[in-house]
Amino acid sequence: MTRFSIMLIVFASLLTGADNASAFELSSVPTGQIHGFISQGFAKSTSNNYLTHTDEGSFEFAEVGLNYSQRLTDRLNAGIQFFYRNFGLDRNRRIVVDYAVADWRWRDYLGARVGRVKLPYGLWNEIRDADVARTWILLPGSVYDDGFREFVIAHWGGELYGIVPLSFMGQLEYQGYGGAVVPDPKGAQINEIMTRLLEGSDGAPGLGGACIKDPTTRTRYVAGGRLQWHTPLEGLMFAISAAWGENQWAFKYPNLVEAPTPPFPPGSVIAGSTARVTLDLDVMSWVASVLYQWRWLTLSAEYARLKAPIKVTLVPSPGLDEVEVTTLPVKREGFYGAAEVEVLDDLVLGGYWSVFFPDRDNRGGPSQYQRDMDLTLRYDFNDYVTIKAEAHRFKGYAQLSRLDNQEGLSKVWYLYLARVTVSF
Amino acid sequence: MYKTLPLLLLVWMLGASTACAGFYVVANSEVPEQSLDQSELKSIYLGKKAAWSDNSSVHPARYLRGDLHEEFVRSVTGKSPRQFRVFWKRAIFTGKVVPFTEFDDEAELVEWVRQTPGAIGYVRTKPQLADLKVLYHSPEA
Repeated sequence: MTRFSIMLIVFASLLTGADNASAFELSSVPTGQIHGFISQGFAKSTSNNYLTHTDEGSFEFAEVGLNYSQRLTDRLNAGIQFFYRNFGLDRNRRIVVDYAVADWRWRDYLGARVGRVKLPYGLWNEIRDADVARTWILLPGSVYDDGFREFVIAHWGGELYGIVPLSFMGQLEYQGYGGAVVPDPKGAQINEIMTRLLEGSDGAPGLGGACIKDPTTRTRYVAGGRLQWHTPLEGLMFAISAAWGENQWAFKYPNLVEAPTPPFPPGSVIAGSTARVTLDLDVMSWVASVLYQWRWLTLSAEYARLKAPIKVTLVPSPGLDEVEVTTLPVKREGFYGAAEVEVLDDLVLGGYWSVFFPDRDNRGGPSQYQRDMDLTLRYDFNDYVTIKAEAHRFKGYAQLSRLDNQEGLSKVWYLYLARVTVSF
Repeated sequence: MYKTLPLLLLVWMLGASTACAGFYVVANSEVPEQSLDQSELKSIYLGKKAAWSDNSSVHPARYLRGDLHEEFVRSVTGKSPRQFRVFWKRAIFTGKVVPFTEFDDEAELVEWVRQTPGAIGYVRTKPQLADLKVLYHSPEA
């Protein structure tokens, strides 16, 4: 946090001469803009730890972002955003480049972005780090799973985008992209997934072993797109998003046992040696969305599926041949319905009902589902300060970290959150 | 009281609290368009239309707050001022450049639109200047 604060001050001073304006003009047309946000929250649950140490109550629930954008020519813009987040259970806190984009808009129907580009997926994926840009504190986890955040937040590559008028049929907005997602191999999400593989979860046997070492990630590609149909009915929009990708994760771990339980071939693991595990993921996911906004009322609903079979191969000990251990099926499903009512000009009351299944073919037991009922109150004091209060009733714990809940998990639990965000 | 409650609720639902005094949308005289409809204006102020018909850039102006801003945003975009603000915060924090030049004062906005090729803005009173063109006016104007 200290490093970020220093960087923020230096950065802002360099660009603005410590001017506190939210955007500054370099000529008659705004060419250079600096914006940012600081968001601090508190989270407390009746049981179970989720994202931070909610069981005890935690203020480790903060996000900071700072961006600078520059209009280089009439058609070319460039922008970069730095981002830092402190969620208590994310063990790899550091400042990251959230996006870094050169944006060339040739015509309204055709533009291109290159660099680190936010990934268009569903209604809200691009703003999952920007609390001020949505009503909820927590987005519906059934579609926006924080456990997969690092894989979907942005990609390095390119994107084509545009909007095409459809005469009396409204407008069609499109984005298509290709590139690579580069998740941090030491990030919390990778660590959690790999640890689950070692220990086993959801009834599947683990690989055995203890701590993991030298994790690496490699994305062969990610590609996808989003189509948004702005219908002739004012405020009604349908969207479909899809993404494909191939990832490979690898790590080493010291074998502790001679012959683990299946799926390993007997004798394939030698105690005391170091094994190398490679996981190949072939991901396909899609989400269908609908959004309707009428005056003070906003309704939204989304349905998402993700299929990502994980092929596990193992070199049990150095010098031995690679063994294909198993292919783990991953077939996730999630959906939610949400409503937001602008009760007063700056006061919004919102709620959603969200349901998630990590395996759509197996919905039994609280580890195989997570149902979330949410109620949120958002108040905008002014253009810059927003406060929120939110309550959740969860049933099931399919998206909770086993690492962070080693004392066991409660089937029914409540989560209360409050947050203040200052943005400019 | 319970008899007037439905009426109060209806007034709240229809958002009838804001009186509309009308507005004019003005543009720099070099802008090729002679008029705009409400959907084209909405596209400009929601960042979906960035070029005029001759492919020159649109440079929209807006006010930060005030009755005129509120009336314009509600009438043209169908959003409340808060929804409009949140819409643009989304753009700001996902890598899009906000195209607006912002003003507190109508006279300053008019002067800027006069001098900036491709500029467009909105005013309460119909301007009588030769180097500005009126592209749209609200039904109340």
